[in-house]
Amino acid sequence: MPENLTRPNTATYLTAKGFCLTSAAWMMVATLAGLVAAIELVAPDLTGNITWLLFSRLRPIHVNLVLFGFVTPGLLASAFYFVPRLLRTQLYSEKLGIVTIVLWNIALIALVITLGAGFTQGREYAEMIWPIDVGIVLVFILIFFNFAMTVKNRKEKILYVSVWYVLAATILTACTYAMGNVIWQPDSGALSGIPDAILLWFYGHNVFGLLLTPLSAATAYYIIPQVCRSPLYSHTLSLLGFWALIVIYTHIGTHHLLQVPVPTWLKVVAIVDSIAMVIPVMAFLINIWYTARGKLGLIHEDIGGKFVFTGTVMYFIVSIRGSMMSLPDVQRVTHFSHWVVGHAHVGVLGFAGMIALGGLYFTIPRITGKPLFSRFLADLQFWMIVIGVAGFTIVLTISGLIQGNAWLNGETVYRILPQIHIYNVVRASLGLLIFLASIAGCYNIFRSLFLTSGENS
Amino acid sequence: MYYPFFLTYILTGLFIGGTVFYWALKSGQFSDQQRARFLALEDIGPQAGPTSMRGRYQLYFIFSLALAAILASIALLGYALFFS
Ligand code: HEM
Repeated sequence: MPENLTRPNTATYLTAKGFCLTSAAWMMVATLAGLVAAIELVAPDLTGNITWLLFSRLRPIHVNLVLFGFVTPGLLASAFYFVPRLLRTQLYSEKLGIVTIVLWNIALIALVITLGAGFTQGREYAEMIWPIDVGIVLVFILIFFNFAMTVKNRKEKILYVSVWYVLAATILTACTYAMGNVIWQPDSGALSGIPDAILLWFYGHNVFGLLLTPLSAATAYYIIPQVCRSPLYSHTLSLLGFWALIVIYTHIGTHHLLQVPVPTWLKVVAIVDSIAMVIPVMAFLINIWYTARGKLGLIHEDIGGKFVFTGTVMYFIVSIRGSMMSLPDVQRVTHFSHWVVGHAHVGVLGFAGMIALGGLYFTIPRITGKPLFSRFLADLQFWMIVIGVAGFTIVLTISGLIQGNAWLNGETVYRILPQIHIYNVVRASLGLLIFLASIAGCYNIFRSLFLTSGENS
Repeated sequence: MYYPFFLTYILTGLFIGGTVFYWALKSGQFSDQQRARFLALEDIGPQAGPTSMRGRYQLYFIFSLALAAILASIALLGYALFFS
């Protein structure tokens, strides 16, 4: 067994383990909800009159579970491992960590029950009702507190860039989640009129930009140098990327509202900054790719590194696409179409989801002191997801352009449905692939954490 | 009237961001960047085996998939905007 896996370690990493399990388990539920929803697009009468399986209820369940059930906990699992290590100290409180995990899971169960039963506030990414909103904000505050106190107790003076990203992601999400869900209006969870749309998309975009992106960047900045056995290409560049992300990402939410009568100056700010996103994006990618230069073999050897590195390639794709979609002329075609759904899947699954899984596979052997249960299963899951995401991108891009063009030319919605039917079928089968991948992943992670001495990976 | 509300949020954000940046500057977070590059390497993981050709091909395959997706996007977008 490799030397460092047997090194005695006083840390229990209970919180990290809890988040590993949370992520692996909810990934199955989240992808199953997505799969059923995708099948309903092909066969709308499939589930008959079962109200809690209506597309309109499954979709928010799928989206919110992917964001808050699978990806965020997956990224937090590795953060709870590497933040204390980077600070050369122990986590401030594992007990508090466990409390947050329990609260988190209660919120997720409540999310499924309430959305399934039709209790919704009807705003995208902010559908959950008030008590769940309060729970989620509380959880983020507790997590931030745990990390902040760990920073306070640190033995390493300099905060590595990953620590900056994790702290920012947790506290900013606590704030923007509370804001975006208009938490001071328990009944509606909304302002009225156009300001509500602006606020909602300020929050909506921050879920990707100030939660998933920084947590993913933090994980990649920790794992890639380790896997490549070489120092980060430039820590200064990474800090530049961090501050640029904080400054620029917060301004671009209105690019979701280019077809809406919001003030023009706000649209201009959003569009300009969406293009300016190239600065933090490339600062991150150049740094990671230069660190990995000439080390692709080492990355391939480590299944965690492989997931994370692929995630960075996806980040490149999603960002280029994103900047393109922010141009009004492009968005006239792509808005409201499957194109956006394609972009969403490259971003959330291809980029943040891949990095979350990479973080899990990198972290688990280190927190258990045992190799993974099965490297083969992890590899299988890797390829299933790569094929699934690449397939989604191609299929949804094509059907999005068919829809966008037709609608732009004044065609009615129903007349286009036969044209995109085949793409919906392919999409559902790719969804099946990803659902199966999540079962393989959950089994592997569960066995690795609990039951096995493992095959030698 | 929502501007005062948004403005308060923006100003609070700027204040907190500015304060944290000032703290970072004063507490030497931007100094010793050379050492900071090595911070993630403290607990280096298991030694990986030699690079295999298969591994290289797999990564090339991913790159070509990614490239194919970008090219497909560009081609279809170009087609949609200019030829249809
Ligand atoms: C440079 C970076 C990015 C830019 C400029 C960008 C731009 C955009 C734009 C303009 C839209 C709205 C499209 C429309 O409604 O017509 C959008 C939607 C979306 N983006 Fe991005 N994006 C970027 C990166 C990301 C990343 C990294 C993620 C995920 C982690 C992501 C996830 C999403 C999702 C899920 C949606 C769908 C929102 C909805 O439900 O309508 N994006 N993006």
